[in-house]
Amino acid sequence: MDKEFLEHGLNMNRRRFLSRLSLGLGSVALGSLLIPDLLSGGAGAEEMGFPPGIPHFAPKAKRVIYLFQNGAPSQLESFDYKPKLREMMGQELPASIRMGQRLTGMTAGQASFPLVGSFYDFKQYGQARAWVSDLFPHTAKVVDDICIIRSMFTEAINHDPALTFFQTGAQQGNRPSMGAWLSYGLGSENKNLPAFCVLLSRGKGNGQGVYSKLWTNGFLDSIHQGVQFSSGESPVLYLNNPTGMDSTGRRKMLDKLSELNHLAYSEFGDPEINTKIAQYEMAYRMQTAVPDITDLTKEPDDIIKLYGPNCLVPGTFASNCLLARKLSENGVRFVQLYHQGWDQHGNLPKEMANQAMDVDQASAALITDLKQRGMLDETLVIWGGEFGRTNYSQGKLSADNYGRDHHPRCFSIWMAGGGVKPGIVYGETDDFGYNITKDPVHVHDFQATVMNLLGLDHEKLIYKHLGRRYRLTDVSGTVIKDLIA
Amino acid sequence: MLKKIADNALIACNIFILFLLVFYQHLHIPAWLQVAGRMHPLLLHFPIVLIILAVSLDFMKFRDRSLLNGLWLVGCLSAALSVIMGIILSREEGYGGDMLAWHKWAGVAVLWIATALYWYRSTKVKAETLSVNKLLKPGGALLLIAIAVTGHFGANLTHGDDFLLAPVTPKPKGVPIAQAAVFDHLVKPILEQKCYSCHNSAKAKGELLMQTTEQLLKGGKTGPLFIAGNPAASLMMERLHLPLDAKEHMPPKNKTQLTDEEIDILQQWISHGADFKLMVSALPREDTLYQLAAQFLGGSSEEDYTFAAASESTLKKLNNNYRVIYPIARNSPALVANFYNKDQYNKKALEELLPLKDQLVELHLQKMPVKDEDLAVIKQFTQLRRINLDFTSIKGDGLKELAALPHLQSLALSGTAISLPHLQPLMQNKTLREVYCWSTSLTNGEWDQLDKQKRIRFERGYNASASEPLKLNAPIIENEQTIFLNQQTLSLRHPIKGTEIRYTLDGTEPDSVNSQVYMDSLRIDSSFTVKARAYKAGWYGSEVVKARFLKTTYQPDDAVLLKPANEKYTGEGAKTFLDHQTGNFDFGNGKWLGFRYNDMELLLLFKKPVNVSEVTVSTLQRKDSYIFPPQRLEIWGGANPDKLTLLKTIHPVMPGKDTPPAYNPLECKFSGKEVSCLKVVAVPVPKLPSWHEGKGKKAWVFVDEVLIN
Repeated sequence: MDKEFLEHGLNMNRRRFLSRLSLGLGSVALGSLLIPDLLSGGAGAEEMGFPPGIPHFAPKAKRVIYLFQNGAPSQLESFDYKPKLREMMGQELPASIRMGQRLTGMTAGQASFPLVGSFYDFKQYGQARAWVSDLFPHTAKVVDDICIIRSMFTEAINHDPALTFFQTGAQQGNRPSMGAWLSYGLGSENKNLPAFCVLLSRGKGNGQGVYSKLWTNGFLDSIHQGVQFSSGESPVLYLNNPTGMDSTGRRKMLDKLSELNHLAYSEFGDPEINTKIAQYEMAYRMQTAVPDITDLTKEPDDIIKLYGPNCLVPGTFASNCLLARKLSENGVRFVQLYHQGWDQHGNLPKEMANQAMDVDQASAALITDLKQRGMLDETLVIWGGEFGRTNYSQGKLSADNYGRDHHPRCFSIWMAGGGVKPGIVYGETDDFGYNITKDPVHVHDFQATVMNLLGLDHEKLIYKHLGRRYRLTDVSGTVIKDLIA
Repeated sequence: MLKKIADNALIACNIFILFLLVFYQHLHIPAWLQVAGRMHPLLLHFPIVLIILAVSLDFMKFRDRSLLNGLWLVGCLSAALSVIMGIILSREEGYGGDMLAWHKWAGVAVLWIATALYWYRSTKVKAETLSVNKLLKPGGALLLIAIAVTGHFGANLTHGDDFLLAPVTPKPKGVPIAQAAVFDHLVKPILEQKCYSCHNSAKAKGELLMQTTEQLLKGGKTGPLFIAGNPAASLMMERLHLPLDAKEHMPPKNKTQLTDEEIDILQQWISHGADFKLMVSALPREDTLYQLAAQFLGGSSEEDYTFAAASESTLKKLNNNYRVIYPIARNSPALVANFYNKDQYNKKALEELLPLKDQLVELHLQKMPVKDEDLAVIKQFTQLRRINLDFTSIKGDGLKELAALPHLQSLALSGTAISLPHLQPLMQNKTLREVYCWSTSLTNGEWDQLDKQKRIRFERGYNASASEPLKLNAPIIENEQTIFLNQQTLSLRHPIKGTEIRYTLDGTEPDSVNSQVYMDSLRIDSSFTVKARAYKAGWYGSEVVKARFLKTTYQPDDAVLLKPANEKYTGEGAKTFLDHQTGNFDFGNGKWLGFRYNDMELLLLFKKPVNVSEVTVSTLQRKDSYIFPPQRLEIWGGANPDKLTLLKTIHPVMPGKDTPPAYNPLECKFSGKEVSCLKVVAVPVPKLPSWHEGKGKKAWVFVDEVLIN
């Protein structure tokens, strides 16, 4: 019945559209180009056989905080310890190891590929005796709570496609981001806040941009789009009342607007109208919820010390971590942080130390803080970049300076909480840190595993669009059972 | 002929076997013969097949007597060889016990019965009576039974004695974690699965038996299995961790290996003192062994909820924007409730949930203004496993109400006004496992008192005073403009509450004792350099933050450039010099004016005459970008543009090879003069020095502000 009603409404709409513009069939074609689903009807719910919004099976994690290290931090100076590279410092990368791996335009012209070991020492920590570099002393302390994956690999070799691949499961863009999929699959917990929030920060290192396409809802309902929180006076843009309008006036205006929108809905039955109404209402409720959450000054002193003094400086990674905890605590499904500045093509020893200084304490603090609130069990924390870095130096190699180019064949990330096995190190790479030798994890496998932890079957969470069924993991992806506690 | 040799061989074999059996205890097998012995598992299949075939053919009244006799003979011979090899193999280390004895004698029985039957049918029975003979069929049946018995015991020797029936033997039902013992429910099952097949009473490889506590404590030929409390020095762990290819690695390469988790469990058990009586529930929750146990025994997260679900309509009715209730998973009757927005919370909002009292397993009320009397309402939700009351307004008197909740496992009370006596009633709760109560009035002594019991874990939270102090971040100078007209209000700020900012204005380094404490914004009316540091108890002092503020007293009414700036760096024209906006090292940002092929000649005009004694020209020095200070700077002044006199000329210091980029205010001081017009001339360096990469070329001059005092 609903479907017929919808159909009728849309037909009416179309008829009026045609008669008013008198452009004939061409307009229908145009209309369907502009609104791809105009002629295909709704998708999703009926296709899936059950309404989205509830996990498929008992979830281990309820929420995700993704600390994206944008620009690709080097695995060789963080979690993948390769003493052999130090021994072979300056020697040429053997062709038998490279095996024809394509290179970026930045090093393709390089005459030689001198191997370079980590400028920083490594030590072993925790019950898994995991190797962690001296750049991450705080992370080293929580190593028993995290699961280090040293065998991630991806298909892309440049930042934008690799980032897009990680976030949306495809390199080209226009697909929904991971957070949007989870918002679609699990619904929002707190109706006063968006289910998917985005926080940006920037380190001093060589940076790569982030664009709103990374937190897009793609073809999903626009309510699933990531909402960016920025530092400063108004954390969410356009949320405050315009000057001269008080909250009563706002309420009146919204009530009237909603009346009009309901009228429009009863005439056309376009579900997007209801989405609009819901968004206006949520924005209104956010006006009270957001200032309360973004006010970090009420945090106790111990918490400030835990995250480090910068956590009260708006726009820093530390402050975003603290904010992420508060958002998560308030039921935001997916908090996505991006910390820029990890693209160390040159000056790696110095830049990477600064970058690590920015993120190390706060990342570890987030784990400790969630744990002491009993939230770590139900919150999945992910830390990592979009690919790895080469084991050879880009540009001139000297005793205390070198760079590393992009390397998609292996890199390290870590996950914690949310049903991930704590205190393990998963996967291995060869002595050169170039190829994976054990337990490879593809980006789609990673995504499938994350969804599984949240109680979603990555093969069942689908959305029909332009005549095709889409999922986050496209047509592949295997849940890595060994990572799940 | 061939048959005759074979017959004799059979007799010889039997005599040899008799000899082996008699002197069984004294046999020493040389290495080369052990190889032959190890072919026993291969060869034994021949007699089984051949003898079964022969007996079957007898039963089916097969007529070709000579072929059948041949079959019997070959069958007997292969059985004899199998027995010999079996005896040799059994003398290798690690075999023994009842199972072996049974297998050995059953095997010998097979051989002897088969030999007897062969001898009987080939010599005593006539061809025509063969099919009606009264002895052959029962003999054949007996033989088949003997083969089955031998095979069964043999298989038990190789695969372990529960191998055959394992799939139909009912598995012991999972033990709830609260009742599980570390050895009985974690360690023993691993030993049973992975070790027993070789280290049992039948086949004590390395003289090691592992089936009873005493046997485990005794160890094997090489010594004790483990040293309680020291897994690293324990033989068992050493053998497990050796590379797979190592001869000593256990279990042997071709056997099923232990998983990483299983090794972890053994290791943790040993490091916990290899205690055979230790209960999982006695371990602290964050203990690795406890977590492994939870994983292994299928922790509580997979709890089956057996109560009936609430109706869809009730759920829908009770859900609103500030009170969200949802099932933990599809098709699960268990519900979770979350409250948001403290203005919307009241006791009634909680009472309204009572229709769901048999379904609600989690209740999240953190930061809501929950009062103690509200806990009496919560008490009625008898299915609750988890309650979060962090940072609520409870004082603690109501907590005794919660002690009666029959399933309560986790209770969060951090940041509330509770104290130790309020926690006492909770100790009576049998299911409670964890209480979060950091950021409360509890003292260290009280914590220790709470930790005396091991059943409930009390979370103390992160305690900053226990770790090394951190360095504060530097204070923030809030003023955006560093050039001011007449008077400046300096404001400093630090993001962390209670921080003391100390500053100096005279260029000296601020310290925590002698320097001024910043209280409120300062008004300053001459150029100054501020240096400030932040201090707070429990922290290290911050780095110094510094900034130079420059004063300008007279604002010209008009400014004219007599020679144009380079077209790429024109800024906003001549007024850029007077807008109080300083440029930074990014010289292309529109706040700088650049000159290269002509001098800068700037005319500044005042409607009323002013008494000028100093002109400061702010310039940039970035030698890598060919930007140098002007070679010569001239200040001219007078009543009008046609009557100017030279007031001052300076020749700024030139940068050297290693001078870093700098923002250079160039001061020109002279004796005070009444002027209505000033002219500033800056002459670019005509030829870059020889050490510079652009030697001989013209240098740039970049100017952003001109200050007049």
